[in-house]
Amino acid sequence: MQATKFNRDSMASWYARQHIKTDPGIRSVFYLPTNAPDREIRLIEINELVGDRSDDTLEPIDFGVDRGMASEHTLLVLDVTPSQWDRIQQLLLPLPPSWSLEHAKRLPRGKK
Amino acid sequence: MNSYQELWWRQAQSDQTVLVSLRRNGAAACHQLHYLQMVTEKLAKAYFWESGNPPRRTHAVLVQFLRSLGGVPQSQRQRITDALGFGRFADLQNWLREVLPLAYELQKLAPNLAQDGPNPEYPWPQVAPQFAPVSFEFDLWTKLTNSGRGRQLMQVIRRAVDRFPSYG
Repeated sequence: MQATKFNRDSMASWYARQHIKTDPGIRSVFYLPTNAPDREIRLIEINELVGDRSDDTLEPIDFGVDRGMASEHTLLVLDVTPSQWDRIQQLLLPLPPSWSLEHAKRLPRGKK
Repeated sequence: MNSYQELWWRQAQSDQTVLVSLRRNGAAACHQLHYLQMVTEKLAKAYFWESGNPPRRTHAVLVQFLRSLGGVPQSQRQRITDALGFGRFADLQNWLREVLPLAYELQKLAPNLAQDGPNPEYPWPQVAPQFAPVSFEFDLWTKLTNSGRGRQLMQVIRRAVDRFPSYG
């Protein structure tokens, strides 16, 4: 079996496209490489269709992918409402520990 | 929580631990769906044991459980709202309405409800199998992992298990 190299930036874009294709509620996807381990992809997805929950529930969900393969990585997705995103930007709502908006990239929506 | 509820809750907790481990280790979708279905079934049964009488012997309890949460008496509303991490009971009710279709699909995955079709445990159709769960692309899995609502459902279920003693 041919080993697949892992390119974090392109994988992040691929995940964003897949999620946007599935979920009409997504307004924007941000990729946060700063402070993330080499094989960890951190995404913030601003979504109009997720339920409005209390701030203490702001926690990413993590998925292990391709364990034991050359492309092994972890995907973390933090879903936020537009109002939570506003408060994150105003520093009124903290991101998970070690997450940073520094050098955050807004991923293009691509074709649906 | 009565002793019957505690037993069902403990099993749901253990299943939840396995589910998280499967997710973090990138297990095939069928295994994660299987455990997610089992967690929700046991959580729901823990809740319904509140009366002291056994719930119906069926796998189809998740939708009934979620509907029950949305219809609790006024005196229990704040407790459940807080336990599941919503600000207001109305927000929880709205959210429950939105996720019911996903919940219905999830409970239908149990082999005896899948009508000889896609299920996370056994190849199908039974008499002349053409599909194995491990290599099947479950539409529900795409909805659960690629959409914010799906991921939020998985997170609320986890919290519902963790916080069960406060509302069960």
